[in-house]
Amino acid sequence: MKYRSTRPPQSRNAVLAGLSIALALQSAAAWSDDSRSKLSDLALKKHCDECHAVEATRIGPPFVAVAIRHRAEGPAAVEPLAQKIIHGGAGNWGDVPMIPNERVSLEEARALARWVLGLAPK
Amino acid sequence: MGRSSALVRLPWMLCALCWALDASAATTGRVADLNGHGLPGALVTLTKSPQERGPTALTVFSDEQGAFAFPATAPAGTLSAHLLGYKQVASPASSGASEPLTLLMRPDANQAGTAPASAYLRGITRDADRETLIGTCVGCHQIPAPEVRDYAKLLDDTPQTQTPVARQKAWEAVVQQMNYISAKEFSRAGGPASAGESVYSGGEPGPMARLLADSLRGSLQEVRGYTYGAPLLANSRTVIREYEVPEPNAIREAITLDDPGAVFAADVSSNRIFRIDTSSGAIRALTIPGPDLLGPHTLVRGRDGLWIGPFFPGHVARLDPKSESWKLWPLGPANGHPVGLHDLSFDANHELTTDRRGRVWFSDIGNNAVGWFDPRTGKNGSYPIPPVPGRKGGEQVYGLSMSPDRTHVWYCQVGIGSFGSFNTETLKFETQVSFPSPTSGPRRMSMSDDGVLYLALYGAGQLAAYDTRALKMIAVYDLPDRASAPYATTWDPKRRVVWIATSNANVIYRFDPKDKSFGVLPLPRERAFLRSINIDEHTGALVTSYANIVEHVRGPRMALVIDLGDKAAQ
Repeated sequence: MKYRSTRPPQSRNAVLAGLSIALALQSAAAWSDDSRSKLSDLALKKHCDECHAVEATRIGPPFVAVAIRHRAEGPAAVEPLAQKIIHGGAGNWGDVPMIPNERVSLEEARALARWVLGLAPK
Repeated sequence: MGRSSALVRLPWMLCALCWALDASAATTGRVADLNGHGLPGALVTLTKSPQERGPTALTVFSDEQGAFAFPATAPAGTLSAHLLGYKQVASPASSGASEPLTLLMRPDANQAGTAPASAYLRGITRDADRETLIGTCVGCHQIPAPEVRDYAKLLDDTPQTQTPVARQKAWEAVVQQMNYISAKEFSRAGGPASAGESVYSGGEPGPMARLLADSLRGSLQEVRGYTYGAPLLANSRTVIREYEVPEPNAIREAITLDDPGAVFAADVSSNRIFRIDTSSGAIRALTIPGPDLLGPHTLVRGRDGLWIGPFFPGHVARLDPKSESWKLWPLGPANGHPVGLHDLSFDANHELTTDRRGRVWFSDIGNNAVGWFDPRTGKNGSYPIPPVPGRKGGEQVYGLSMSPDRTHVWYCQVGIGSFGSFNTETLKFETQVSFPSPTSGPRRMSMSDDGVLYLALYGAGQLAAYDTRALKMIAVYDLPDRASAPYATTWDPKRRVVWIATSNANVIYRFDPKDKSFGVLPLPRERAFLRSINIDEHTGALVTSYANIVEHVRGPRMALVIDLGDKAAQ
């Protein structure tokens, strides 16, 4: 838990960042729209927003892009995607690996995968 | 006749008593290796069965012969042993067996799982690198925590991240993730995200990612040869009692007041103070009647109750533990900005103290100022700390402590490696001292009754002792583990030693000013992240907490009462 109006006390660089209005505005934009509001409750609860947004590329690919890529596979896409959520790894979207999420259960991962895959435009 | 039969009966009665004591007693046993040799200094933890009353877990230490004994009051539960460089071979045993138990361990040179996070940072050769890494990451979590080590292994195992460039890019993604989490945390009280997605590394993750990639080399699934670096402080009478507070919470500090049987713990994510009954383990939440989220943060024992410095702007609170009634002082803004109260002025007994005019002083982390308020009138004010030549960026004040004559408050500035004094009579800043390294990280301080200020240097892994009367640095001592991230010092007026709470090494250090020696008390849990230590004024027990306070940082959230089993406790 942190406080409102100060920077983390440990980082000098953070203070420089805090002074940059441009950066702050940029991030405010990233916050307000896509990053959180369009995510399912479970996706928010499992902190998917830390790396993903629905339509924007963040650290990881947009969820819509994931859905489009796997659209042709139908329900068969659920299991590998669920396992990818749990174990992480790289390959489909560049060289930066997704972190493993061992605190997501298989059942939760399947629900998340179904939600992501359902985001493909009809 | 009657008399002689009574005499005859006496031994029987004594024996019956012995038997009764034996039956209720306590779990005893021995820790041994597979050759049958006793292992001294092992931590033996009894984890309470769910239906039992009492602490969540009790930990004792094995003696020279490997023998251990739990207090007779210990609840039933399961036992496990923990010793650096060893692994337990059998599955955890149950307490209450009729015969003494033997916990068997075998040597394991790979200390992963028993060595603390700090053990993995020994390869960092540049002080500035270690200081930056610890100063940036350990404010929230240990580095490298198990999931960080697992991520390093994932990078080892992933074909796409075999080159140094790819590996650095992969760490850069983690820095970006941490930026986002921090911005979310900072915005939780309703304000804007202070530094957006650029909390670390000034909007450019590059340097931090490089530091992570360079520092966290290899798979980190193995660590060898770690030692505590100081003699063990525990003896066969030492007992560590841990009380788990059900999540969600952000337990930050814990303290006892007049009654050693009640521990109060602050939940900085809410308005709650938990009252924990140390015998039964029962926990009750007391709610500060604040209008907004207050985030109780700093706890200081006062003669008139528990003083609480909430994190979020604008209040000081006091709890009367008997009537459980509250007094709240709203603080006016300092020079137009909300007050960010961090430490309240306390004395060598770690008790709330005022200056000679009855004013309580505090460090105002939101305004980089020294603040005061008068509990009688409710008035408050603030004095901005003057700039330190050559130290720009990260100047905010952090710890604060009052001189024994109550004429000066001493403060430190964690982000620039400086500290100084303010005269509460003349209302002028006086002394200003800087450590050579701006990233040394002085955090929470305490002062002895003879005016020696003890500063925990978080980044540098050192303890500084400064004579506030002679205005002279006595010495800066290397801690046994330079990557231990010492968060706070506590002067112990009974034992006349300094206790040092660490965030990254799962230990408490003791410094003895008489012979300049250190001792170590290992804690029985991974991610034993400490931010403060209080001392029970009656029993001399150390009272602390595992302060994993960011919402989804993993790790225990517990209050601890540590009976050292030494003479001072009598």
